[in-house]
Amino acid sequence: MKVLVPVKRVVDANVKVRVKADGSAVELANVKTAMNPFDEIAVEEAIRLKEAGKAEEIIVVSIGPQQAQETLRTALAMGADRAILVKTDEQTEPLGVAKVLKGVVEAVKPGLVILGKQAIDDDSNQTGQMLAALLGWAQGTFASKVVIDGDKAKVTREVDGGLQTVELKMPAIVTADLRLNQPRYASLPNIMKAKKKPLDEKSPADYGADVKPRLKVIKTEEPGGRKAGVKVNSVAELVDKLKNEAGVL
Amino acid sequence: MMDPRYEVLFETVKIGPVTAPNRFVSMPHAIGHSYLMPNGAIGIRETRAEGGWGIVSMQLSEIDPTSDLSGLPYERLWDDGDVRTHAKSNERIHAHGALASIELGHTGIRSRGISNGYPAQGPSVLPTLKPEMPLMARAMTKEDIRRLRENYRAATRRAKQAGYDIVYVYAAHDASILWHFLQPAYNRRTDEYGGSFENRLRLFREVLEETKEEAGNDIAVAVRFAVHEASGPKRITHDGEGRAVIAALADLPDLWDVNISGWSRDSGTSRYDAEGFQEEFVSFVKQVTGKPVLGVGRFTSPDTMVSQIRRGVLDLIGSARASIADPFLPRKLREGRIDDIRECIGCNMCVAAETIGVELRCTQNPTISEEWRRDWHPERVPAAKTREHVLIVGSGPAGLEAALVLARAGHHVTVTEAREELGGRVTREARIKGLSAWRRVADYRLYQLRQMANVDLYSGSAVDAEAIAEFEADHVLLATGATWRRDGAGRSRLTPVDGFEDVAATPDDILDGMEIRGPVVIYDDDHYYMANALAVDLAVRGLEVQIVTPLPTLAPWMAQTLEQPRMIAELKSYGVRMHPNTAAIGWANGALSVVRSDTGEELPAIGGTTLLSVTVRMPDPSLSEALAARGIAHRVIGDADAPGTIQLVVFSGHRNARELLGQEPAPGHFKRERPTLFY
Ligand SMILES: Cc1cc2nc3c(=O)[nH]c(=O)nc-3n(C[C@H](O)[C@H](O)[C@H](O)COP(=O)(O)OP(=O)(O)OC[C@H]3O[C@@H](n4cnc5c(N)ncnc54)[C@H](O)[C@@H]3O)c2cc1C
Ligand SMILES: Cc1cc2nc3c(=O)[nH]c(=O)nc-3n(C[C@H](O)[C@H](O)[C@H](O)COP(=O)(O)O)c2cc1C
Ligand code: SF4
Repeated sequence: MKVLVPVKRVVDANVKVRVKADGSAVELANVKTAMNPFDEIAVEEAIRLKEAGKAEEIIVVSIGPQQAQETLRTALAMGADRAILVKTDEQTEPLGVAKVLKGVVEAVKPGLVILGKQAIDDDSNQTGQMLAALLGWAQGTFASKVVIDGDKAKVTREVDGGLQTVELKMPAIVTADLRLNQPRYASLPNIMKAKKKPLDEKSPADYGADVKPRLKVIKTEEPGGRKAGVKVNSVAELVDKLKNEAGVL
Repeated sequence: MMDPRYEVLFETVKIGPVTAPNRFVSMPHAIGHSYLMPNGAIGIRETRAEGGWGIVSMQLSEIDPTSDLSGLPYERLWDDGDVRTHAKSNERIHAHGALASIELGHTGIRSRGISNGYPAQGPSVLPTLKPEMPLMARAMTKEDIRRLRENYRAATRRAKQAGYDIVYVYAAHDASILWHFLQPAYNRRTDEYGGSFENRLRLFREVLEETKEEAGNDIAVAVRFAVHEASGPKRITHDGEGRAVIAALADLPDLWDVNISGWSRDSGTSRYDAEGFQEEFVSFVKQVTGKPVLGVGRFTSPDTMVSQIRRGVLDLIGSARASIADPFLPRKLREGRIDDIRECIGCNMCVAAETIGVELRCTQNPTISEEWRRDWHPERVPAAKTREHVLIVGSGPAGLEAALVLARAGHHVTVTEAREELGGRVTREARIKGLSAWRRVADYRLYQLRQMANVDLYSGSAVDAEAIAEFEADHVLLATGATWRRDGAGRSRLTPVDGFEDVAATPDDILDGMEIRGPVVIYDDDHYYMANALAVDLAVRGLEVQIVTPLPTLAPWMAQTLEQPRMIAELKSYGVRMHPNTAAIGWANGALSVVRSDTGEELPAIGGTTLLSVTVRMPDPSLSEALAARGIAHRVIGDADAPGTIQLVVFSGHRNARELLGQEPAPGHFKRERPTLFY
């Protein structure tokens, strides 16, 4: 079985994000980028499936600018087998990405697609679901555990009320939540070795997809500043304040 | 945008006839340049003003030749010939909108009197306050007192002429003649300057009144007074005469600058004193005077500063060390860039530079003292001509500092670290009890590097010469650090000690988590913090620990950082037995054979289960040699080049990065201060 893992290049989670002075968008010039953390978890899950003999090949794909190549190299360094860069300088949106991914799925024919549950830049939480709809495949979102058994995937989902386990008929879509696994690290020697792994360059047109933005950003604002804190003298006082002042308990 | 929580720190404060633009005061502190190196000194002070400190203070400045600390780098305002330099300094400070102050003082029985032949003078005939120097101070006559008062007046007039906004009357640190007269342990006079509290205070009061008179309505008068003696004779305390002095002189000065004495306690290190540690001694002052109050306490956190103001402890936040480590602290706060603050780690390498008589140095800020002579700015690096790729092997203080300079210049920087954790020695050593603040060396740099698109950081990534060659970087820096020797060869003995090799544990073993069984015998031929910090760390785990060292006292370098007495007291409190003047000659059958270092006499062997050897650290040249064999040009920096203090290796990283950028003149040929030639 092949596993397809889409990975997105996003602002690094360690970066203190700043909004551009004109409020049009987040400042991205000379800002560090990295693989979306949930996608690292997705890549890790695919590698573990391969290590357990449940998958033969891991293909990673990224839709984005030339620099997204670095994100793919990171996935290759972690242990993916080959990569596809679908190059576009458009601002990507979930629907456009899902359309490209549908084309990639049809070309690659994976038994499983593992995505991150959401990207930490736009927090859309839509791509996996849209892809499932476009393909007409089963979906197991917010996965904290994935067990493959023949042509079935048992996916434990993190839902508001607790954990829900669903059984999917493969091929299927899984989106990774935080607790699915602890992703491994891409070391520099592995990054260098990854340079020898195949990386294909395609365009959205190769998959007959249109990635033109359809959403309009009206405003981008920073969250309001934190108010001055108070120092509490005891745990009892803290609990009291949380209960009676903050109303969170 | 500034966080509204910190707005209170940027309120103006009225000090007599002048107004401070905000509450930040860069305190009087020696910068190692003295009157001999005015250009470098101005560079330091101007950078403070540029960085947003509302008041920039001149260090202790001697008012006449009988106050002689020469050998230690202080300032002077002896006569009119000294005015010009001070005026130039103030011009540079005022250009940035800050006020300038000068701490005028006479060091009394702390003077030396060797350099110009006037003996030290004080209230009574006393040994000078340096027991190791064979010098006595003479008792001042009434005529001497009259002359001192006149010299204070004259110095104030000169300070005014030089453009200062605030002039100090200095009575702190057990280093002021006014303090020496006040101190009952030193003042044995029977005239009107001795005896009762009022009599002992007389000279202080006279000088203050006369300084006020000279200052007139143009400049403010501040008093720096230590309200509490935490070391020394311990006769002046915050609930005794310390308080009585503030009460007696209450509204006479325009500003009270209060702290604790001696200097070693005032400049307490992070190992022994928490931020804000002076509060318990100085918090009463605002209740006794209506004048603004300035204080210190290794403040680095804006929240602590705000809390001091809000709770009515202080009106002005004084800082020596935080302003050394980050001259731009106020400006960063005002611009809402709190994460960019380079926080002082409280190590006192700055103090050590001063006590050994060299230009100011700082672990966190390698650009200090280099503003003028090397043109280094603490915040800006000129852009590289073309973007090149630099590979830095090792993420310790040297590697990270080099990475930061090169990345700021615009190069693409890749840092590779063999361990799982970034930060090298500081991250590791910060786990030792008492040293946690040292982590800030790595934290500050890693945070900055993680924001930048042109930086890649890889941990868990050991590389060999082949991998480095394959990487094809334009430049390679090796910052691979050093490891502790195991064989007992150290600083005082250059050859191995019998029985150490293969048996002794080293600090690296402990930092790697090796299980240590007691009793532990530590052999310290390093003489800085490592042996004693580990001794405490191990003692806290319940192990019996003894320290053996060949030098006459434990860790003499910690006398330079002012920590030695605290460290010895700490060892004692944890039951660590100390064996100074004791040289190891061999380890066998669970016992260290020792002799007296000075006479060579045999001493009883010291038994233990674990021998911990803390001697010297050595770099491993093999990677550099392998690169050289392949013809790959590279620089070796930091501990990998010459194992040193964290301060030295950060500096090495900075200097090598600047050299690589081609921004440095030939080594050693930075701008020099030249004395005037009269022949
Ligand atoms: C990229 C990413 C995106 C995420 N997005 C979301 C999201 O949108 N929504 C969501 O619900 N979750 C999200 N999470 C998950 C969420 O961050 C974690 O589940 C959550 O932080 C775990 O909380 P924790 O307190 O268990 O542990 P931690 O995250 O490790 O938090 C520990 C915190 O507790 C403090 N602390 C520790 N000990 C003490 C002590 N003794 N006293 C006081 N403070 C102490 C620490 O300083 C620290 O700040 C995200 C995680 C990641 C990595
Ligand atoms: C290197 C150094 C030199 C100092 N020299 C002086 C001095 O000349 N006069 C003085 O009154 N205090 C001096 N001090 C003490 C400081 O002014 C200050 O009171 C003390 O360091 C505590 O403040 P901090 O915790 O912000 O460093 C010096 C401190 C340092 C670190
Ligand atoms: S040398 Fe150490 S104590 Fe002094 S300012 Fe720098 S970091 Fe702080």
